[in-house]
Amino acid sequence: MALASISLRGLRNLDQTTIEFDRGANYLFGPNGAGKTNLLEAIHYLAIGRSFRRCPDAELLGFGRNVLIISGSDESGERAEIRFDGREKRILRNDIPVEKLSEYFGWLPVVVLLLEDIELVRGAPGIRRNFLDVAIAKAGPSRKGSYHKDTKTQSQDGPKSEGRSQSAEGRSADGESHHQDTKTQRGETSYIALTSEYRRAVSQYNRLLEGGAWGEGRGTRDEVAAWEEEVVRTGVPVYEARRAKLGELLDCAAGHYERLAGHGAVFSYRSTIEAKTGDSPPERSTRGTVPVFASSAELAGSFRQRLAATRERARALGHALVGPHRDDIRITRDGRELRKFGSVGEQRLAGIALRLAEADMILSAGRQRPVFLLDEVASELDEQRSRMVLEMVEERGQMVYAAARRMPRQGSRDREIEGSSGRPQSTAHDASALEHLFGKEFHVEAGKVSEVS
Amino acid sequence: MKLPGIGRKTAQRIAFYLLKQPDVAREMADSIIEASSKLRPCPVCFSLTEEERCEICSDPTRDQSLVCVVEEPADVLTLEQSGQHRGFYHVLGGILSPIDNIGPDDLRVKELVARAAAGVREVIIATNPTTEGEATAIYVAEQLKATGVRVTRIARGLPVGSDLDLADTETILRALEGRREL
Ligand SMILES: [Zn+2]
Repeated sequence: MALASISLRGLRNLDQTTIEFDRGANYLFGPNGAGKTNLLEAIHYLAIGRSFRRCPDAELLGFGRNVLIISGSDESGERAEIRFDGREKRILRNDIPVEKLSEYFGWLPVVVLLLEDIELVRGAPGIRRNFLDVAIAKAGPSRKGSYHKDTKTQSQDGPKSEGRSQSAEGRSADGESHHQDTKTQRGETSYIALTSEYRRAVSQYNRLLEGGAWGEGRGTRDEVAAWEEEVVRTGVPVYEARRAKLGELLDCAAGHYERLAGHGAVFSYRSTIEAKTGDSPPERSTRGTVPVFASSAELAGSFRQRLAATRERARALGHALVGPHRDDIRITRDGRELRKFGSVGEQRLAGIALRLAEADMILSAGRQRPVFLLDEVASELDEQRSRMVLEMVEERGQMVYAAARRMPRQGSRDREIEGSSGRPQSTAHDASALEHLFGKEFHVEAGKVSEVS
Repeated sequence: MKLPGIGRKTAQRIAFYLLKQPDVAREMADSIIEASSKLRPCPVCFSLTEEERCEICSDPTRDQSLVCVVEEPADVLTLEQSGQHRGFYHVLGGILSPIDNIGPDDLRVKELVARAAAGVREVIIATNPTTEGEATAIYVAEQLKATGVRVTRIARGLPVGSDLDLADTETILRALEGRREL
């Protein structure tokens, strides 16, 4: 489901405005610092309830402004609004207040593609873990769950448009969408809830280790053992949820990387609790690999044993050394880590591949087509690759692309002509592809956004 | 000061009412002071009582061999309201939480182990299904191992984050019925 419009008030340097988006491609251009990225931030904030640069709410509030209001609706008329008055944040979905961010999360799937995504590849492991946790959370329950049931109702009764057939937020034609969503989300423990419970257990365990009071009545062997067991109890479901999604995520990423780079790379999940690695031999260079455990009991056993084995070192360092919160994604080309040995170009492409895989997860879970927020990404790529990336984005969802320079329109037309012969995948969306490619253009300068006709 | 279960609006309403009724306010204050000065932990179960020994612990019709372990005295009241538990209680007086500097010595675990060793058939651990409640349950179960007593944990019928305090009777019934061996 594409974002139809957004209204902003009090967001950094941007003037109060309402923008109507094209359901395909949207190009924002204008000088740097004019507010393009702020507009992308606004969309992300509206979709997820927070900034993609993890910027605190207060920093989004423009200087001298009392209140920040971002509201918008998708094509089906689903509405959302976030207000922040400098102290309190209020979130409304279809005019109903939302209590928990996790209930709001995902009403409008969004995927960012930023220049700094290169850090997904060369940055610290925490960046990759955060990426994969967010990607799994965004995908939500898989299509096998109740999310998919209503897809049929939707595509029969809803207006005929390609984007809609993918959407399945438990929405039925009678407009009971909100209820069904909430039920689905409450019916099973969300990945966000699992990870936050696990994080809580780990922080308690870490606190016990770092307490320094070991042997002084605190942190007795049995107390440590109890917290280790709790870390295992809460960690196993996190591992299981990751295992269910990761293979697909890493496979997709490896495929995209190969297509973009022209050579393969292995995207694998490296677990600190050690297990047999999946059945994929390294020579199959475009497979994602995930550790395999025969059963939850085996997983728990291995986790327990690794915690015990690293206990002394954990105690010295003051934090747990193994578990889902210490795992990493490793990307290698010919056995060498892209993180350390890859070229900047390879790292950039691997970052993009991960982002595209994030979108694939959202789509394959039977959720709506995501909104892609691109900030200057293509400018660092050569002509051919930047074209490929934009095409891959357009195949997967709505695009809002911010760049300093105006997109050459001629380029778009060329791309379409080539695309009709050399783009086998996009069959379903071809009818609207033309419209997508031209889309809408917006000029952003000195805080003003104006549509270019 | 914040009281559990009383939001800002309710607190305001109460305050305005009391301002208009100074006698009621004085009476309330006196009875609160009186009650809190009289209440003390029951020496057997550590629930609060004004008597030598609490009502439950002095009830001969209750099943002494069945002990239900809870976090706070308020949990005893909740479970009693449901009427589903016919045994005794044991109030730990908290849960393990290294972040809050709470370890086993801050809880009445040793007292529980001593009780369990003296003619108890089953200990039901009914701490809340939070991370801290679960870790406490694991710890307590381990400590009870040596006594040979049967240790069970209430089923996870209560959603995470909801306190036992707020659970309704049916939920409690399901939680008690579905308890599992630890
Ligand atoms: Zn008593």
